[in-house]
Amino acid sequence: MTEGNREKISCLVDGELERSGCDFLVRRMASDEELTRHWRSYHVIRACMQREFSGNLGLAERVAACIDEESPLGAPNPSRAWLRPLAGAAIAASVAVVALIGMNSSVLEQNQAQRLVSEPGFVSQSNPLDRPFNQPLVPVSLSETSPADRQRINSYLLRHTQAAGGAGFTSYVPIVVGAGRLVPAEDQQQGSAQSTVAGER
Amino acid sequence: MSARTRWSAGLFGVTLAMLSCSAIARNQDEVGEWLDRMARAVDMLNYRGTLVHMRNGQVDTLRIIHRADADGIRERIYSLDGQPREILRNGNEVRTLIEGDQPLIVQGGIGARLLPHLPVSQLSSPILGYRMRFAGTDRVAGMMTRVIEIRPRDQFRYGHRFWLEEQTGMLLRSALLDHAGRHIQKLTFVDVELGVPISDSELDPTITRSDAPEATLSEQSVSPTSTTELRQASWRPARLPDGFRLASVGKGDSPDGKAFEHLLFSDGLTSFSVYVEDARSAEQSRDVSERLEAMGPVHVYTGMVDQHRVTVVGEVPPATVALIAQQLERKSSGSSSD
Repeated sequence: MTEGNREKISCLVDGELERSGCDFLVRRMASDEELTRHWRSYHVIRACMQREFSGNLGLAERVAACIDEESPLGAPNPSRAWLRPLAGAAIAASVAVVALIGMNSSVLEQNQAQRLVSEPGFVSQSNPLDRPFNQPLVPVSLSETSPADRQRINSYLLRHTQAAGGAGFTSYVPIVVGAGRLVPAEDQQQGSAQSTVAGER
Repeated sequence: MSARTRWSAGLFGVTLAMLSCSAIARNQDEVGEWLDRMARAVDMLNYRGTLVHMRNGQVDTLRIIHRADADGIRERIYSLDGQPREILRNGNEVRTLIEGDQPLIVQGGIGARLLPHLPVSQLSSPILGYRMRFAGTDRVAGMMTRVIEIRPRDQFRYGHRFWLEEQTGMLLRSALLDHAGRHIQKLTFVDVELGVPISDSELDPTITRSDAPEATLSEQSVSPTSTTELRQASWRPARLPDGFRLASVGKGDSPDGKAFEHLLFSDGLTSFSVYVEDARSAEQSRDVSERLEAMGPVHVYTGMVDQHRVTVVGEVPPATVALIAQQLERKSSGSSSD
């Protein structure tokens, strides 16, 4: 398959292909198995990374669904432009991190800490800097993390992992089991004995 | 009490204190030696086993096969439940294979490991932020282990507990602990064979999806920083929890093309990163909302400081990332670094 076709498929997935081009490509896909396979691959990657994929739709239905979602056609959608490099040989590091840590995203981590028995006096001495622990949790934002923010944070997380390793320090991220999706910390901490302050300046 | 008796009592007290200090130091040295053995065993032994990873009610079962020989280290880790996934490591090359409805192959060396990779050189000397001690013995996967506990001295970092096999020092169980000593996550072998021959075929992947898209994880160059370079950092926290120090300074571009400064802080065992981006344009300022997010024990704080977007990332409690961001200030020209 030519680089041009890959680019068109990537644009279709990103919602950046004009309507006539979109119609033409969909018609071609109906008879070109290789094109279809690549389109499917690109689309499931995007769905995987954005955690949008929710079922086993047939190809035709998924094409239709995809096209229905792309409105208005022809208008670039900056939030999806990060998938474009997939058409080439490499993708951004942050994208790969999303894929790695998004594998076990269904379980949100809540409330379990409540069930655990604490060991009194585990921390041996208090510190003036402990003050934030004694203040109530202040919700800072409950809105969903945008794809751009997710991408930025994943990029920073990856760089942190590499920097910590390069400097000879510990960096332990269980990439096989996945680290769960990004959730507002107050969700994860809810029910925990530990409280913190956030967002106060 | 005569002067001579008082003098004798004082001498006895000083001697006792010196012996006590000496015993603590010897204990720390012994713990350091065991952790050194652990790090070597995790890398240099051949082993195959089944691991269970537990975190907040979520359980994953994994199989690990590890071989170290003259050709280097090869390792294969694959999931036994949930979505099929495998990680193949050959030296520094890492390949991740994901099966299922969303197949993907990722090439590239991510620094993360399944078993903790401890900075042995750092652990051989006492680390300010922690107390290390032996915490008895226990039986794990049918083997006797020595338990080592690393307790944080404050609430700004996590603690660790390691179960090390008596003969080899191999890590058979590890737990990450919060400030109250509660297990945040635990990784434990349920069966393991140590020092066994590993064949090439055992290290071959079972996931062979030729149609899966391949992605390459781009390496980000982050090299150790000299003292001079550390002084060039433009930002610093006004206060840091005891024991943390600036370990490296770097610059880069975020995925959306914005330049950032990257500061890495470490206490020898735990590290966190601070990223600072210029956000002076009205549009950029509007995009920045303060938020605190979590991925397991990794916490991420995003906020604004002096018209700059600050992101703090690290495997530390949420209060730590929030505090660091709130303490961050721009260095005036001519001031010295940490």
